[in-house]
Amino acid sequence: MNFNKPPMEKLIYAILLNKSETDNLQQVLSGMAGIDKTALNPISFGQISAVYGNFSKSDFAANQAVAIAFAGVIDEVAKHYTLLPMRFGSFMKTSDDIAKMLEQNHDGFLQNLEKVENKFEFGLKVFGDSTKIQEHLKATTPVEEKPLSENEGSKFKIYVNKKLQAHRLEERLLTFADTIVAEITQYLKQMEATSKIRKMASEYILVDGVFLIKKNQQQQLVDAIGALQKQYPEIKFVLTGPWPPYNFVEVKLK
Amino acid sequence: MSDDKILFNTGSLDEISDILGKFDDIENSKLKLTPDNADSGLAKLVLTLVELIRKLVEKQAMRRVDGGSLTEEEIERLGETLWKLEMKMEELKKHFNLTDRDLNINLGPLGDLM
Amino acid sequence: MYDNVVDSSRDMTLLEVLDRVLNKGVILVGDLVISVADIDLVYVGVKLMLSSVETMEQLKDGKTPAEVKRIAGTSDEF
Repeated sequence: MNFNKPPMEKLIYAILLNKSETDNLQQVLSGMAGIDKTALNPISFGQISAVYGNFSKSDFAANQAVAIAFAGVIDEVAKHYTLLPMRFGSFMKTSDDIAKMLEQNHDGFLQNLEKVENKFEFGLKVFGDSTKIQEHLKATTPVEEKPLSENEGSKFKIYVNKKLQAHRLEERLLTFADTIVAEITQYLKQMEATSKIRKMASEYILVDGVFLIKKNQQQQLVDAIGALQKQYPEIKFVLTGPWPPYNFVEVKLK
Repeated sequence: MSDDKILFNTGSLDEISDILGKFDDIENSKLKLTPDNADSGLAKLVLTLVELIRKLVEKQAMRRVDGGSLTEEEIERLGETLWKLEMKMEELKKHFNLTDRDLNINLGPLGDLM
Repeated sequence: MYDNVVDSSRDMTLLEVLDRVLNKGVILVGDLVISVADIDLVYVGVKLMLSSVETMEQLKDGKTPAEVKRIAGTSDEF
């Protein structure tokens, strides 16, 4: 039986922009705690650094609480450095491995980091009850629809009719989502924001978007969403943030 | 996380708590096949893909019907085929004891096609 | 009544945090691993490509995809 301690591996939290001549990253990190009060360690290459913690991979509890704690650590570090968060559970065997990874992907990381420098991510979800929206749409827009043939006798014709109604409803919702997205985009343009928007991500989520804006534009965004909510009371806008740029990672690791 | 991240919201979020409940299946990123659920684990993967294709086909069919260019007979035939496809899918789901929710694994970019 | 509001807010934040740390961020290797009897066998990457976990382990060891291809003798793309 093997009584040796299981080997420790490195869980990477984030990749930081670290251009400063005087590297006081270690100092900053020593003032913070990682998951379960473990230490945060830096390793640098060129103008970037990685922050990692030592854990026994086999003992590592990859559950919700730990994932939340992981996010919390990233949030803390993000207060001091521009960073790209790592996906939860990113382990590497040695710090040499991490250094090599930083070296091989230095320029890609740097480019990505510079794109998100001084910016935060904000998330918007627009929730809608399709029946409520349907009623609203019926009341406000005249819809021209070609009726199906009179002959509704056959079971399959009825089936198609049912499917067709559902399809038309979906198309109407999609058009409505397009309108909302167009409105949002207007505001985003004013803020010179980068954005990624999905329509009808699920049955109740009409619009699902993430935006990258400067820290000092937060209130402008909140005001814009407030205005949109007033304009569309039948749907529900929920804005969250500020987040580290989880959704604006473009680096493809070599 | 100590900070509350919600910046804007009107009223309570209770209405959407149903939706929030649906996302608690985070173990989806690792499909574990044990002797007990080997059938359903693999079946889940396969049926999700099959269901995706079926939904795409159905969508396309409805676009054609809505377009108004099909004859009565063509619509009838389309209806029969789509109906049989859906029935077959229900059969498969029942056989592997899978619900619609089980099949809604997020396949990344493919998910956008739905 | 107040409790409900707080719980829903907490749920919402939880949902947003988990979606980000589990599905977003910088990825070292791919997403989905299919294991049989707790042995990792098949890796399903973000583009739904299948490769053996052995190949994936090689990647984790810091080898480049090109090196892995030579070792594994496969024509998998990454």
